[in-house]
Amino acid sequence: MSTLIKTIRTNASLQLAILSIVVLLWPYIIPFIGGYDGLAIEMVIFAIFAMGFNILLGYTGILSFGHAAFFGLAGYSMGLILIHLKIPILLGMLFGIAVSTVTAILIGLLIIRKTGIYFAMLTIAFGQMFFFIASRWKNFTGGEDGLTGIPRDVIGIPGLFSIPIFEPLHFYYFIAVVFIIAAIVKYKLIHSHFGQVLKTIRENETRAQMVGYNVRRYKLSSFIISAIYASVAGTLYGLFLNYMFPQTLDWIRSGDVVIMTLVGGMGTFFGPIIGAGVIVALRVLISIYAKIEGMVFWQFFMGIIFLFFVLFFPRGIWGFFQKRE
Amino acid sequence: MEILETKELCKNFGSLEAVNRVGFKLEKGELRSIIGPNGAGKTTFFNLLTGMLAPSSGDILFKGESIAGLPPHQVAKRGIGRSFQITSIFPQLTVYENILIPSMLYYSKNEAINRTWEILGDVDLKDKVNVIAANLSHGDQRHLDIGIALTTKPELLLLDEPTSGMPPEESIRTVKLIQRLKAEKGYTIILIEHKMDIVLSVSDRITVLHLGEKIAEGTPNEIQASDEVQKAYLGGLDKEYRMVNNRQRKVAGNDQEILTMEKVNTFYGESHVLRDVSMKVREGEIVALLGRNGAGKTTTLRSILGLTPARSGSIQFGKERIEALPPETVANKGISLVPAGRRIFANLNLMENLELPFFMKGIDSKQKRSQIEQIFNYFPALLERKTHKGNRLSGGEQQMLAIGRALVGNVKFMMLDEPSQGLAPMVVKHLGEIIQEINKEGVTILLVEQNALMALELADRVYVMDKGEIVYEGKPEDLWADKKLHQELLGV
Repeated sequence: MSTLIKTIRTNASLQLAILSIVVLLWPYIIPFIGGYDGLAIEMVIFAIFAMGFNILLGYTGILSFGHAAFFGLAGYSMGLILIHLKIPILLGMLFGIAVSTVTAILIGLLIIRKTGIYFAMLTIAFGQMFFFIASRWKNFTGGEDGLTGIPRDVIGIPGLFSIPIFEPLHFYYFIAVVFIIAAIVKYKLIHSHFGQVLKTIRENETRAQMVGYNVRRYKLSSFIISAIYASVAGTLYGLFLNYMFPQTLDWIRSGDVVIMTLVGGMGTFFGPIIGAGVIVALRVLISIYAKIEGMVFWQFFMGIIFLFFVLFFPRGIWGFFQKRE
Repeated sequence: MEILETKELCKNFGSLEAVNRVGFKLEKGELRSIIGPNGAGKTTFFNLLTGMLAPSSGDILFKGESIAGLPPHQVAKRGIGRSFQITSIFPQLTVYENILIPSMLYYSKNEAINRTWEILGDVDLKDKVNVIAANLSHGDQRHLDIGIALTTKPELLLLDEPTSGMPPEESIRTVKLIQRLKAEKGYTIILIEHKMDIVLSVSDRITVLHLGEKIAEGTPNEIQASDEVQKAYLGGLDKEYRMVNNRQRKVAGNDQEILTMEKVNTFYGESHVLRDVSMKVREGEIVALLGRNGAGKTTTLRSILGLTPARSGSIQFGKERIEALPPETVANKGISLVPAGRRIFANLNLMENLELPFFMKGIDSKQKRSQIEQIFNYFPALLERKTHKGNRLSGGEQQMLAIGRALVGNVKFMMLDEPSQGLAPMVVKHLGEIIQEINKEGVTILLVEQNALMALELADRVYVMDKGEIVYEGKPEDLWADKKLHQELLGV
């Protein structure tokens, strides 16, 4: 048994394989813990979001409170183009991700020179700008009612192939594939030279600069990559719900992903995936069971859980079980 | 051929000229030391060379090309590597990663691995490759810092106090490393170092900076013999030293000891900083505590105040033992500290800065008014600056404010840490007079200085520290008269 654990511990491909298998079997496991297909879908979507966010927070040491803006912007952009132009869903997703990525590049160029609290505040400011556009520009975005009617029928390339994703379970397998690709890319990324440099920046920015790294460029890249992950998650979310609403861009949603990353274990590969799963599941379960006089007090319990982790498990769930070197 | 040349290099911070028209030439293969008292501009000079600061004017030529104003990462790529005065490593990465990751910018993967092992051999860390850097001993961290500087294929290596915080035996290991880097690896090296024995034994030539200017340059022998250098270290004032021989000032009465330290030992983590320090200060005295940077002076003050508690030994204030008390309790007994670097709140104005301690000590408004009046009596110059923000005050004004702030409450014993640091000679003289005045009002003074001249003029008695130990105790005039003794301050 212990040799098996050791093999798993040291073999990266094996770890990724196990992760993939768990994700693929997840819809069949989740009913046992009181879940359903929709919950599984949401868990995996936020796992993609948190996984990318971890590149910025956990590996580069930069805190953003505005990544929901990229999540929401991608979802809205995709929704709008799918509704108005009726193009294939994959193309719509690419469009949404592209709009959001270009926005991330522009914002990043502007604010990446700031550090710490100033950077975090600027990300909130930008995030809230998009939040207010989404909630006030009623004719274009649907305002507070949200953007309804985002189609989710088939994915494919006309004339080549088409796969129906209308059924939740079918859609789940679509996002599971996206998740596995995203996980492999992230794994390669953080173990590449680029990923190593991000860690040196997290550890000691001045010194990283003094050994010759253009720190600002690396930080900007990290910011953009994490925004791309947020965008991918955002488009999947829009497809999943068939609509987008302003709260997806809100800084509270940005805070959720910070909490997921922290609770799971920032700077670890598996931590944020677990963190996203745990937080999404808890949110749903608490909303169902923990009602006081008919009111949902989900945020209250969320606060307690977050406090608990920061005080007693500062390295997160995965960090706690990981052997300390 | 010169590998490095600076022309009329200047850097000012506001009105402070940290580096002033420095012309500097360095031959390839040379080991040059830069020495000078605290605040001489040595680290600022390094920051200019490595692009961490842009010069205010002047030029820097590296291998014949101007590098002035280039960002740090480009300077590094051109071949200037640097270690840091305050250890700068990647704490949560392993020793191996600390070296390998930077190397990969300069070498292909396999070469980088070979290079990493070579560097780890050079800095003596081969057997600690898998240790998380934060868990290394202080000495090993200092070596790792140098190792990181070596990853960038440097032709010129800048070492900023590589032995700082090390006990003597560990310094020897570092000195050998530096000698090996020069002799076997052929690096051109500039070394900032305060330990004169090290400087004299390893350097080809020495450059002396003082108040931002180059005041001397030469071989170790020439520098050792130079009066100017002696004065820069001991003095800081351009005028001749004038000892008030007939020191008539009567000490406020009794010979009662107000502060007694017995065999105090203090550590920073693993690093043993104070070694059996014993010291006495009598009521009404001005006592000076001298010594070079890193000698343990500030740590002595921190131990008295309980900021860095002594691990063994006793400290007595009046009749009470205070070595185990927390800082706020010690402060309430009437001990105050004017910290090095003044620590003024930059965004509060002068008056707000001054009022803060009253608030914290809960002093009523009537008493407060009279104390503030008293403080402005000492420092009338501050009156017209009442509404200026802390960061808009000059260095001298900040120092006065810091002293004023330390007078709040029932202060019996005031410790000043390097009050003359970074101040012009005129201001230093004025400051000295004020300190005397405060002393006459019955406040006992412990004055820590690198700039010994002011301290020697004011003090009734002098202690000199070196490498964490008290190495001299006596009268200031005796120390001054004995040339050999005051060379001890230089560590010659």
